[in-house]
Amino acid sequence: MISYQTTAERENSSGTAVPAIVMDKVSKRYGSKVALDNVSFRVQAGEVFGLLGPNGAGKTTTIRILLSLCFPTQGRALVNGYDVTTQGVEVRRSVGWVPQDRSADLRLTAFQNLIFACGLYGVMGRAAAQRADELLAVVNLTADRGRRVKDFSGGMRRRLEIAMGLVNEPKVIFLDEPTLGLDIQTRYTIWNYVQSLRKRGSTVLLTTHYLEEADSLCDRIAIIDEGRIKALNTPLQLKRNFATGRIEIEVSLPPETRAELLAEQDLGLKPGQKEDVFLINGDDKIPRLTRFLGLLSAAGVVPTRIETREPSLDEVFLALAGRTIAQVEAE
Amino acid sequence: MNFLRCNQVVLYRWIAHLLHDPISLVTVLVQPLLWLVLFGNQMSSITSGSIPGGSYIAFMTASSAVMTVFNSAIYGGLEMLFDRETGIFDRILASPISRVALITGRFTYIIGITTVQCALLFIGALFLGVRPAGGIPGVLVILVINALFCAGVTTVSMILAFVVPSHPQFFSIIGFAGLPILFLSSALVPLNRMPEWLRVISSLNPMTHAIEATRSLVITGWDFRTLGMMFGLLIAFDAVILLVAARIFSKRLGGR
Repeated sequence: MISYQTTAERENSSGTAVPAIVMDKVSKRYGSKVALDNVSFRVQAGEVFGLLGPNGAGKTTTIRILLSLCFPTQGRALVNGYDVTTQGVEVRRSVGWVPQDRSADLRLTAFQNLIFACGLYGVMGRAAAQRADELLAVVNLTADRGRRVKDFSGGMRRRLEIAMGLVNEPKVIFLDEPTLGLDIQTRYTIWNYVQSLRKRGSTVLLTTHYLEEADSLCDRIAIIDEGRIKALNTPLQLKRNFATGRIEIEVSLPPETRAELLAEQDLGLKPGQKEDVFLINGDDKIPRLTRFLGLLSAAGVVPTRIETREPSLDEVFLALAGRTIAQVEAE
Repeated sequence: MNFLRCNQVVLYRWIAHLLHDPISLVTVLVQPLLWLVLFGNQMSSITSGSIPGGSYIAFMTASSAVMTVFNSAIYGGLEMLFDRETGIFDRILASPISRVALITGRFTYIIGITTVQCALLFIGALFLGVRPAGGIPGVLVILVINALFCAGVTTVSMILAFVVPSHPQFFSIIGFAGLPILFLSSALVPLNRMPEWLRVISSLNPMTHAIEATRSLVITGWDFRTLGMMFGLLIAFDAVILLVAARIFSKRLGGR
């Protein structure tokens, strides 16, 4: 079986704990375009760390810098204690990466892809064949070992690519949008792999623009937008700090009444996405809801639906960036 | 990880590709013979007598060998272009494998293919009555010459594949440059029958160097002066182009 060092072992062998990832005031500019603006964060060994933000926010640029595929314009980035600018080979040797784009070779079989991936890290011959078979078992592709990847479903290919990212038993694994475009079933399977990587003590940095994914997998999340870190904390704290949850009330009213109600400062109603929906958020939701319902019942109107929404990361993002991820993506 | 092992890894993938692709395997092997039969038979009646050694088919055997090598080598960078357009190239670059091995491994693979092609061509030419003047050792030296030529041209193709924005430009540049390179060489017409200006340009073309060396071994035998010069020129071509490639690769791959 593949041996993964636990966090504790790693700390013991090096005396003190080396942070898995250090981003120290990193900026990256392409010409006049700023991809990353003074980004700093640290990821401790054994953590599952999420970069959450819309497309183009700087998530992939961050990963490319940490893989030493491009250099910071300013600042310093370290992975496993190695400087990405001057120790590229050491960095690459110690990390695994599952890119967002297809990284498996469609014309090779699953097994051949893994043999090639092993070779990239100097694992060859019998050792490579053995590791390939172990990893195929981990991602449940043993039965498809000799099939060519062009005949694979999207989910099977993704599982293979994750296996390919583990061939060098990396201490740090970068997963770039690991479940993008996959069906729910496969998404859960991949979440399970991430959980098992955590149990083995690997450090995982994953990027996603799926909020539930960040929420359920990550120990800590950095919310990133337009190349800047907007907030960094545990999912729970982020929600406590920036989200209050909301109440949705669906009630059919004439347009002028609706406009009047929305204009009422004390009630603090907000329009929902649909015509007949009102939103109430903030710490004083309940008293305001009570007053609103009082007004409605005085007018003889009964709401068709009242629903409570728990605080969500979507709300956190909205509070920090002034728009939701879905809105940014649609722009 | 040492350099030879890196090459071995790169080669593994290309050989696996070829073995999965029987159509390419067959076309690769039949193509050189087609060159020879078409060119040789069509043209020999028109031109016989005006060619050194008298046999246009012998003359064309040398050209066909070099043209086949050129054809396989100039598209040698194509696979890297496809890799660039998926995540495969980045995935490879994010590993510690030697960047130069990506080039040398690729041209080693193409050399393997073109060597088989050339060998088949000379076997085919035997049946058309071509007896290389240099004998079997001569043919072996021809294979080495063409390997040198192949290495340089494949590297040029990889540089191109690396710098173009996407694959339409790759095809149009090769389409644009391919024919001039052929006509500005001694592939179709002997050097001493060219006008002065053309001879000067052709003499700078590495394809001419490969052809002159090959042709001398097919038609005149062991002309060590020509051979030595052409070997030198081809090695210089390879060295320069490989240095350029290494520079471009390391520069772009660091800063990108």
